[in-house]
Amino acid sequence: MAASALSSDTVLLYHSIYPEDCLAEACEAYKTFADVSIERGDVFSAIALTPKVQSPDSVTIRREFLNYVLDLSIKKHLAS
Amino acid sequence: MPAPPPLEGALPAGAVARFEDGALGLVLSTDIYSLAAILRSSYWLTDRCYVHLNAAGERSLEVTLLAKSGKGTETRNIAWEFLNNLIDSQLRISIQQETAAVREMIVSQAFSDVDVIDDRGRRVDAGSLPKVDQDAITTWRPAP
Repeated sequence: MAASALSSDTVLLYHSIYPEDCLAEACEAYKTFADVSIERGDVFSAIALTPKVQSPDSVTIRREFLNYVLDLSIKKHLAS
Repeated sequence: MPAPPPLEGALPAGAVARFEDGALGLVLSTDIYSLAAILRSSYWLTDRCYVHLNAAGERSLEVTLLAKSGKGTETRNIAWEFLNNLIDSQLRISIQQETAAVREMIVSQAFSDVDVIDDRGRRVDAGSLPKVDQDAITTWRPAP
């Protein structure tokens, strides 16, 4: 059994779901908690998030980041 | 209230995936549920659950859910709630699309100085004038 995207070190975010500007906004908001590296593609971006403080909460920070990007993306989709 | 059944037995084969971290993956056809409906229902969950959306083929989307408590039973319950909420969201979007023209007409009438809808609720064509009751404007009546 494999780990889900919610526990993976690298996560793919499709631009049709997660607009790139929302991803940039989330990176800016999380810059005090984590370093986010983004590998941009045409269809999706591969993101790797490294929390600045290694703790058992590292996974939680990663997951909260994904929820945060999703919230921003949904607000953008529903406003347009 | 009895606990909801496991998703694997109730949904078509391949529609549910269980991951080692306790997360559940649901593969949804975008022919049935629009992206807007999936997004609305996901938004409704983000306070209780971690959510990730991923494209799974051309006409389907994978939604990965994991309860913030990390409990498997809670993730399962949330997944069922999500599926029910998804039907609700999709229905609202469909009704919104079907009634868009009527709503637009009502709002136009509400903010317009002239009638855009006649007495029978039919749209008055732009440029056409409403029929004038000649008798009413030419016949003098004494004030009561």
